[in-house]
Amino acid sequence: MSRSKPFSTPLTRREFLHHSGVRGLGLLSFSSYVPAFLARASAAQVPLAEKDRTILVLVQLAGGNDGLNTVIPFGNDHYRKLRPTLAITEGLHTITEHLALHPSCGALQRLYGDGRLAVIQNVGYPNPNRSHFRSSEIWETATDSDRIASSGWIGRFFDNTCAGAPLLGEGQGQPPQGIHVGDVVPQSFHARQHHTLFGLPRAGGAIGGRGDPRVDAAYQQLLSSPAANPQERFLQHTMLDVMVTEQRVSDAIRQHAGGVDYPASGLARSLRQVAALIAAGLETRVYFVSQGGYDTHANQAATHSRLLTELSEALAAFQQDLEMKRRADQVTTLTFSEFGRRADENAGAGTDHGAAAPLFVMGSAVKGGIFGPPPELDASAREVDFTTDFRSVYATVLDRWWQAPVEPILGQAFESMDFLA
Amino acid sequence: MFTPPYSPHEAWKPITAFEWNAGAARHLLSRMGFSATPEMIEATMRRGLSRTVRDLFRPIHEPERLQGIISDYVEQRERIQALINATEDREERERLQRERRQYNQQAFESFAVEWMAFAGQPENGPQEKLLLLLQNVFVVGRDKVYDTQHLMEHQAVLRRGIASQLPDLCKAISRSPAMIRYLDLDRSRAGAPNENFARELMELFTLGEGNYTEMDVREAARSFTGYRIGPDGNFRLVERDYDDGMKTLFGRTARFRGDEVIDWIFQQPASERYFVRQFLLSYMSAELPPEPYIAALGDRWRYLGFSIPELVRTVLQSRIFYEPVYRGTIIKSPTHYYLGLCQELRLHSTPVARQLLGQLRGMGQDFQNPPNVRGWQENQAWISASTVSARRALVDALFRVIDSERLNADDSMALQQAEKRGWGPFVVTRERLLQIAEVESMPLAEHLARYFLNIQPSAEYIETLAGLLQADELGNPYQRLRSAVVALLQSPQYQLA
Repeated sequence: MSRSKPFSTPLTRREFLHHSGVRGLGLLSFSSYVPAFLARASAAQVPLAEKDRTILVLVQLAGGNDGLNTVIPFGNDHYRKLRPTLAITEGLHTITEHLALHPSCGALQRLYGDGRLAVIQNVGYPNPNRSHFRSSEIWETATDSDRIASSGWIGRFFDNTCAGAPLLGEGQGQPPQGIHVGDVVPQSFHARQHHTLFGLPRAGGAIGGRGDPRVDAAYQQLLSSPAANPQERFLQHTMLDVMVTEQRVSDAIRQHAGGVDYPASGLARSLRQVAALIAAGLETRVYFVSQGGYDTHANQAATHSRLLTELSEALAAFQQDLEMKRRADQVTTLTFSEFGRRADENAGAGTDHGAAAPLFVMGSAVKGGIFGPPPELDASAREVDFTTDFRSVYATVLDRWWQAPVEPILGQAFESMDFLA
Repeated sequence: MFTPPYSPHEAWKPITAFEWNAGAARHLLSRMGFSATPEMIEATMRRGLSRTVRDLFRPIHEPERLQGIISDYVEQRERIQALINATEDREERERLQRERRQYNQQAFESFAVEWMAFAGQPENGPQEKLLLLLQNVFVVGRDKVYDTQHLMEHQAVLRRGIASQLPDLCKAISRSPAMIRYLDLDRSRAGAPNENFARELMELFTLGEGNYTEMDVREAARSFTGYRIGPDGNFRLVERDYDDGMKTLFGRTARFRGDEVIDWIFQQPASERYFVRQFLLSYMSAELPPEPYIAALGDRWRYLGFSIPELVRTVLQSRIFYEPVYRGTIIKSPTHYYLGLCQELRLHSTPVARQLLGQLRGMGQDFQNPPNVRGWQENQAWISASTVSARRALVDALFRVIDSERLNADDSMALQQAEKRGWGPFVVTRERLLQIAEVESMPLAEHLARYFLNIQPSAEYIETLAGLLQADELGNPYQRLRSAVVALLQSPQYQLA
C-alpha cells in the first residue's frame, strides 16, 4: 500500500487513469508542466480532420432586440410616424438605399462593406409568443410555437452527429462539444443523450479554480481510483473530462495573445475567450455567448445605443482576432433574440414585446448582403410580421455549414438560404 | 436490462425479515430521504421496515413559517396594490410597482431559505423528497408564474396531496393559480380554448405520449374553460367562459367538466403506469424493470385506489427495490446533494438567500424554476462541466470560514437573525475537523467512506483516501484532513444514492 501517493497533473483521461501515481510531480509543477501537456493533447487527442471542422458561435441578445432600430428602414414614412421620439434619422450607417444600421453600428457597417456580414430580415415564426421565457424556448428548441420540446436544436445536432461515435479513444476523454458562458447550460444545448459541455464563468473569473490547490490535488487522486458500478464510471469519466478541459481552457485563455484590442464589455470578454479557445485548436463545434438588457420598455434610446455599441464592437474585434489567428474560415457567428419589438413606440419612449426582427450572420465564409424584404409597415402596424422562419436560418447552418441532416434535427424540412455557400 | 429471477407478481411483495439488514436500511434511507447517517440507520433497524414505511406521511408535517411568509407577503402586496390603484401620478405608480416587485423578490428569497431549512430536518426528509418528485411532475416555473404567493401555494397543494389519491391531486392542481397561469388556463374560454393545460395533463401528468389523441386534447381543453384566478389570488370558475357543450373523449360523449375529465382519464389503462414509472425512475433506478413488472405494480396501484402513500409503501418494502443492482445507482439531485451534505455534516442550510439561490442554480436546479414544463431530467442529466464545478464549489464553501468582509448588509443581517433563531452552524470549523485528526489514517479512511458513501468503493479508493490523510504535500494535519474530506464529498462516489 502506498503511504503517500505522489501528485501528477491530468493529461488526458487515459493518461490520468493509467499513469497517475507513477511520476513524482509535485504540486508546484502543476502549471510548469503545461506546454508539454498542450503539445501532447494536440498530438494525441486531436484527429487530423478535427482542425478543419466548422464552428458556430451563437450570440444571444437576451430580452428581445428592437429590430427596427437596429436595421433601420429610414426611408419609410410609417417608421417615423410610428416612432415619434424613437425614430432614428441622424448618424445612420447606410447599407442600402433604404436601410441603415444604427448609429452605434459603425463597426458592423464596415464588416457589411467587406462582405462578411449578412442581414436576414424579419426572422420569426408563425403564431408568435410574446413571453420572454416561452419565446426563448421556442428559438432554442426550434419547435412550432405550440409544441414543447425538452431538447434544443444544437443538442439534437450533437445527438445526430455524435450518436454512437466512439470517444476520441477509450479512456482518452471527450473534449467539450459545446461551450457556453455562464453557469446555466443554454436550452439550445439540451440533448437526449449525454454530451460533454463546458461553461465559462460569466464574470471572467477563474476557470475551475476553487482557490485551494490542495483540495484539487486530493480530488484528482480520488478520481483516479477505479470505479465499480456504471454510474460511478460515468461520473468518474465526466469529472475527469471536466478537469482536463478546465486545465486546457484556462491555459488557452491565459496564453492567448494578439494585437487585437477588445472593448471593455462582458460580451467582448466572452468573445475574447471564445477566440482564444478556437485559436488553441479546441475541438468544440459550438459556442454560446449571451448579452442581456434588450428588454427596453422605457427610455429605450440610450440603453439600446449602448448595447448595440457593445455588440458591434465586440463582434468586429472577435472577427478581426479570428482573422489574425487564421481561424476566420472556420467560424460563423450568428446572433438571435427571442423576439423583436413592437413597430410603434409606447408612452414611455420605449417599445413592447413584438414579433419578427432581423438577425446578423458574420464570418469569412458568409455571403454578405441583405436577405429578405424590408419590414412591411403601415400607419396602424403594430407588429413586424415574419418573412423568414428562424428554422430556415438553422437549416442553412446545419446543411451548408455542418453538412448535417436537417429533418431529423428540426423535425421537418426547411429551405436553405444563400447566406452560406 | 436487469430481469429479476422472480415473477412480476412476486417482485412487489415485501422482502423477508431475513433480507432486512443495515445495508438495506441504508438503501431505504438514502432513497426515502436525503441522508443515511449511522444513527439513522440504527434507528431504522430498530423500528423495522414495515413500521418505518407505514408511518410515512402520517401526519403531513405543515411548515408553519412558510405559511407566515405567504400571509405577510399577500398583506404587503394588497396594501401596495391599493396605493397603485389610488394614484394618478405616473412616477409614483412606477415607484410602487418597484416596491411591489421587491416584496415579491423578498418573499421568494425567504421561501427558498425557509423551505431548505424545513426540508433539511431529517424528520421532514421523506415528505419533502416526495414533494420534489411531485413538483417535477406537476411542474410550474417561476419565470412564468412570477408571483411568490402562487408558487408557495402550489407547493402547499402538492404537499397536502402527498397523503391523497392521485386523481384528487390532479383536480387540486388544475385549480392551483400557479398552474392556471403557467399553462394558460386563464386564457382559455368557450369558443377559444387554450390546449396547453389539457395537453400536458395527458402527456406529462397522467398518461404519457401515445396514449391519447389530438381530439382528446381538444375536447378536454373545452372542459377546462373558465378556470380563473380571482382578485384575491384564489381559484374561481367563471361560468360564462365555460364551454357547456358535449365533448367526446376516449370514446365517450358527455358534458364533461374538468374534474370529470380527470376521473375519466384515470379510467384509461395507461394512467396506472405513467406515474408509477415516474416514481420508480426517481426512487428505484434510472433503468426501469421490464414492462410486465411495471404493469403488475400499476395493476396493484389501481386496486389501491391510486393512493400515493400506498404506492410509496409498496415500492419501498418490495423485494425488487432492494436488488443489489439498483443500490447506489441514482445520482443525487442538487437539492438532495445539498441537504444530504448538511445532514451528514450536521450543518444548517445557509440563511443567505443570494448564496443559496446561486448555489442551486449553479448545480442546475434553479429554485422553483425548472427549464420547462417537462421539469428537470434527472440522474445523468444533472451532470455537466458547470454543475460538477458548482457541486465542488458548494462543498468547498461548507468547509470555509464565512468571510464577513464579503457579505453585504442584507447577508450579514440574515446571518445574525438566523443565529438568533438558533440556526447553525453553517460551516465545518477547523476545531470540529481536528477532533478526528488523531485517528490512524487507514481506520479513518474506512470510517469516512462508511459514514459518507452509499456504495462500497474500491479498495484503491480507500487506500488513496488513507494516503491523502497523511500526505505531507497537503500541508499540516488540518489541511490534510480538510483536503481529503472535501475531495471525498466531491468525488463520484459521494454523488450516488
